[in-house]
Amino acid sequence: MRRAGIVALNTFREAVRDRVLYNLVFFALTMIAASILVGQVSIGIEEMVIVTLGLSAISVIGLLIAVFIGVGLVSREMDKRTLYALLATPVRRWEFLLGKFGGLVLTLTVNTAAMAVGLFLALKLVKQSGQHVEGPVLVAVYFILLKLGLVVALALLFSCFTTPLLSILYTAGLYIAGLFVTDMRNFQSDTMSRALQTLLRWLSYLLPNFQNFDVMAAAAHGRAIPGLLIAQNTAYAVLYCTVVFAAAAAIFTKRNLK
Amino acid sequence: MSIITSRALLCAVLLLGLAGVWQLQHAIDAQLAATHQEQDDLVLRSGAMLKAMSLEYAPLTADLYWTRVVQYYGNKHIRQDGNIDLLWPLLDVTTTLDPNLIVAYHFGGMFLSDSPPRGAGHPIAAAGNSRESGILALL
Repeated sequence: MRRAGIVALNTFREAVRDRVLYNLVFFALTMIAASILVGQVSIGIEEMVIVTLGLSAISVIGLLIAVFIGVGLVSREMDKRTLYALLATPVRRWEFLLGKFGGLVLTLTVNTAAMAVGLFLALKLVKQSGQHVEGPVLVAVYFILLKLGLVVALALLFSCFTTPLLSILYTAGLYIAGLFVTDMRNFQSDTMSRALQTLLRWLSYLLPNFQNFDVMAAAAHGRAIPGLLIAQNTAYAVLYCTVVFAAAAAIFTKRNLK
Repeated sequence: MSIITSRALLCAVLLLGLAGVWQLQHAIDAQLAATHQEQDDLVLRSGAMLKAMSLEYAPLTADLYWTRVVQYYGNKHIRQDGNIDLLWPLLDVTTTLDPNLIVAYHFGGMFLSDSPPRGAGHPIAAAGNSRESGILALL
């Protein structure tokens, strides 16, 4: 575990050196501009717009980082030939993967936390009503982080056996499919065979369900999010990441790196 | 650890993990159903604006909106919910995005004209524009 921690810390350092955190400046400027503009063009929904805009920006920026850096975690090390030197040391392959995963999740956590601070500052600037949206917004940010963790795990899995371009396509495809799993489950048609309906139902439970983490509307309206849902979503993300990581570790351990 | 043991461990993690995911998803669905105050909403009601935003992909957006019409009507029908106020705006957006989507006129007209709770019970006299007339003309 200590070895995985060292890999994680170095992955984080590498991300910082790659100026990944520069997007925070972009986010801060967007939020400042939006809070000034929104105050002038919207009546009564300033807070709501700031919350939805801020959460959307956090999610989109996080997803871009998770997918584009996630798929390069393994392939970049192979291209630079640093992986071979690393694996010649007592670091096991699964420890290397775990470290890479942890490093990117750490980068995303720092990134998301900084963006959340920006969002709360913008919210404070436009706050007019007595409605307390901070709690639900904080939960929504946490759910975005869980979602990003799951995306990193999927990107890492695909990067273990295919090219970065295909990994991006697979990860993005699974993410988009994961946004429609409830529709998949409820999709009923007389023209569809029973076998296909059963298959869709099974898939809807086995595909990563990203709809679980979507509480943006509740946060924007200041509706409380139950603690049980927070616990269930946390357990879901941890369990799913474990399954995906186990598959990734199994594939990477067997992979011929010559 | 032998190869057989590690493989067995991997299979166990994958199977138990997926079974756990399945169970958790049921629990999350129940929790979401109990806590969500379901609200139907159609944020963008201007078909013209959506057409401009869709760039050259307006027909594809129209198809997506038509799918949304079917899902909206179907969900309301299954739940025996008579409130289908968003049916007309959804159809309006769909046919603005793709005026040649005949299926939207055909079935949209049926959904609109049926008396509640099966349909919207939309009065023909209220036909105000050409697309609405197009839908209603197919009744």
